[in-house]
Amino acid sequence: MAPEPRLEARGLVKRYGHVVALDGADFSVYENEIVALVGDNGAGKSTLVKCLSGAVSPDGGQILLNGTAVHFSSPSDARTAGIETVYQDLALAPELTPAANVFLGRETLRSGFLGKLGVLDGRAMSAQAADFMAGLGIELQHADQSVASLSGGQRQAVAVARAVAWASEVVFMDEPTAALGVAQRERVLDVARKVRDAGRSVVIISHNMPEVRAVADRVEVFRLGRRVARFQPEEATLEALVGAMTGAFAGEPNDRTG
Amino acid sequence: MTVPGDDAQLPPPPSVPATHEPDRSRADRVLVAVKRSRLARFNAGIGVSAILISLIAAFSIARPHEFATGFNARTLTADASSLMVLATGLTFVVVSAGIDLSIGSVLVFASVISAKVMVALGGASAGWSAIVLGLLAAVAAGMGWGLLNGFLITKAKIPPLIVTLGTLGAALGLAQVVSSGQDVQVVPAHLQSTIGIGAAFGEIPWLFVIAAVLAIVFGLILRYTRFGRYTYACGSSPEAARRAGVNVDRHLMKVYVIQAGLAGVAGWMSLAQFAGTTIAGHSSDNLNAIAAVVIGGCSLFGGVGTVAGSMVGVFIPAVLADGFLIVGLQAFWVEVAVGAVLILAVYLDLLRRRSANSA
Amino acid sequence: MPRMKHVLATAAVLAAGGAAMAATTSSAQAPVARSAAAKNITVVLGVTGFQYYVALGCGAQAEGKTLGANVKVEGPSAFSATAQIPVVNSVTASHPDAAIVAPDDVKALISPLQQMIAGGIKLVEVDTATTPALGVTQVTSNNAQAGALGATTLAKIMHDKGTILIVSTAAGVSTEDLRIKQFLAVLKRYPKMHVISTQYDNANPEMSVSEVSGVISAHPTLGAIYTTNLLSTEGVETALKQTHDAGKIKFVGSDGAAAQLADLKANVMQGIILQMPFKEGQLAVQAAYDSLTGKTVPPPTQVGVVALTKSNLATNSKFIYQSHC
Repeated sequence: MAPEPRLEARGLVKRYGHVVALDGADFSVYENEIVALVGDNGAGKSTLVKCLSGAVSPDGGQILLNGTAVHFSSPSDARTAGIETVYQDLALAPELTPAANVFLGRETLRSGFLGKLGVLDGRAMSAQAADFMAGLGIELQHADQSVASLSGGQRQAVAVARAVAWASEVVFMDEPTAALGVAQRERVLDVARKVRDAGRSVVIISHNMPEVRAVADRVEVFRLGRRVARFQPEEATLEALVGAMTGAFAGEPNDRTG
Repeated sequence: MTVPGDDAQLPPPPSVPATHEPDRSRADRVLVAVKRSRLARFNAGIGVSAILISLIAAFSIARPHEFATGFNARTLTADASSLMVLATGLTFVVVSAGIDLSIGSVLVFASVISAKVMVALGGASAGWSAIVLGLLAAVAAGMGWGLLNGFLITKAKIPPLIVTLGTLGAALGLAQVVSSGQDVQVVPAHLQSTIGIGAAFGEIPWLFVIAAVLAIVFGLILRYTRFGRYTYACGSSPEAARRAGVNVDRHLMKVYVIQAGLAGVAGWMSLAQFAGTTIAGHSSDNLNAIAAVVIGGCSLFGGVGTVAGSMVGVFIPAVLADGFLIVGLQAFWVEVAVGAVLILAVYLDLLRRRSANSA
Repeated sequence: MPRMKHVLATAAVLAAGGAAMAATTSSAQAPVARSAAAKNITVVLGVTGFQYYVALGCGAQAEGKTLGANVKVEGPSAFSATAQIPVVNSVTASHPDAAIVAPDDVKALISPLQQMIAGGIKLVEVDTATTPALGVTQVTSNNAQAGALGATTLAKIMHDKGTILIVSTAAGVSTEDLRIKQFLAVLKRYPKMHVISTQYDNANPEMSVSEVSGVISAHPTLGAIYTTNLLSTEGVETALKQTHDAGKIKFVGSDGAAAQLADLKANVMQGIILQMPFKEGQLAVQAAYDSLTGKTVPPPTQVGVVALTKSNLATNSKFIYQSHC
């Protein structure tokens, strides 16, 4: 019996003028797994993520969330549906604290009259954010310092924590380890594993083949705007992956999930 | 799994044991974090407050009978009240990474409109209802310019420096058109005698009371409310705010309108203080207010600053000027001193940014 | 705690500085009877750095030296009530025996000056008086006479006929409006002379340059220009030199310093109407000193003006305003 994908794209099409970014693309993420989305530059990975996170509307095709067709007209729609994204540029506000960043746009207000005036419940937000990040293995010495004074890896962790805190379904991570050092990379991958273990699915876009093989439960390969291969980790040898990405690998492998 | 809503709570943390960092790297990280946070806090309120308190102490010791008197305190605070109100509003704008050069002209325009309204409602013998209407007219006149500034900045995407440079001239010009170039020198007697030169409990000038109340209220808003946090967010990273669902354009619009509304209040206060408009007297208000917020710890790049700091920034130049005159030092040195403090404040902000970005 | 240490250190340093200032600068005397000690008189100029007021301050200090009084000169860095009032208040706080003030705004300065008087300080208003006038007496310039003299001087130069452009600061500056009013009144005696335009330059010499050039282009037969203040004069001098009309278009300006004297000699200007700020400063200090020593204070005085032309350089060039004492 085939389990239903949590989030699925069927035949997505997206054109920018004469350029076809997505050419009938399929993509699936199942419950509690880490999927790596790999492909060469221009393969359509970013466009796919933008469609699935509501930043862009596809010209054709379907998106299904837990089996139901959905349509996202803005990133807020996707967020309400439980899909969050960690962008490559992190999109953090450097002068705000980690807690402020985690709760940005979704602040907790004080109860009663003060809350109606828009007064923030700073203590509650700080405590919750600290708890949450600790649960993900992120420790910050001074939680009330600005994000700008954190190291690159810690900033990444805050961005991930922000997405994970609110995502009930899927977290997309776009090149999460690209700008990090070796030790920090491992920490980010650890967080991804914890996120999966806490019940969300994770999609990691990456160029880094060794990492993909280390952390992913499955790999889906994109080329020229469509999915061209799906691998289980043990099949995902370096040659197989690169071959699929560049087209040296002829034809699609059997669908193992069937 | 909870779905995020208005009063969303974070879901409970995953019950997975946290990994432990090797002690060696943790110790290093702690040291670096502590050093950075020390520097990050240095140029904020505490540093400049210490400077202000020390200046007051020094001048009081040097001239106890001239500087440390009730009269001097009353006139210093009353004379600074208009700038306090302007700096309060400007703090919001600068924290949002904007700038507003038009505040002096908006003040003048609002004072002219307000004066004309009060003259029409009775002039020198007008009662308090006319005075209140005059205040509302001033605030409305200011907000009109705020709307224009906000619209041009957010919708037409013109940089704030350019937009407010334009409204700087336009507002002053329009004020001169409305007043035919002549100062309106009739204000309700009650306005001048009570607000202008009167004092609460006979001791605290009403002008200062109004300015202080506005500073406290708006300072609390900036620090403790969602509106204030969105202001910091828009200044720190508009892109992050946008992606988090904040309507950045609408928020910035509100910020410029609030700022200009406060400039309108300052215009009404100046009518009370000077018993008439002072059309030619506000051409350096904008730079004085910018100096005040920068000395007080605002970063011109946005995301940093407090109203309390800006108030300290208002009083440092005022205390310097007053103290220098009383002590007998040449007034020109005040300009040098203020310039030096200003440069120091910006330099410290740059240091803070560089140390943060090198992470 | 590093913060507390920093606070204490800064406070200690500045407190020490304060004590040093107290020791080295001359302290104002404690407010008790001081009949035998030298009188302290503070002058508050309209604006610092402006030659008319510099001359006024110099006259005040010269008189102070003669009388044996301590005369201090202060002033705002901008000509506006908002800049001058804090200076006036600081002077009041410093308790001089007397103060001489050239008010920037005839209404707005009333309240601060009343506070000064209430503080026991003898006030002499100089240059202009507030409305109503305050203090023991006033020593002002005769702006009406300045305007009249401007008209008669210009008539002589233009041989009683021709078109005139007036350049002033802003409508509403009382001193200049008075000059214009009297200028026009006297001009009525010369039916063949009339004013074709009055331009306002908002104390911005560049603006007067462009305005004047504009008027000259529009009226090529323009006969003369009259200005009511020194900044406008500077602008017109530049404009005439740029359009090469110096000497062809006659020019009588109000107020003059060294540059205007040079231009007079070079025939760019044909007449300068000079007030006597040095004398005003002297008379004001004299009146203040009289009020402090129990003598009768002279009644409000209007100090006259002189016209400086090439023909009376020998006698009148000494009235040119100085840039420093």
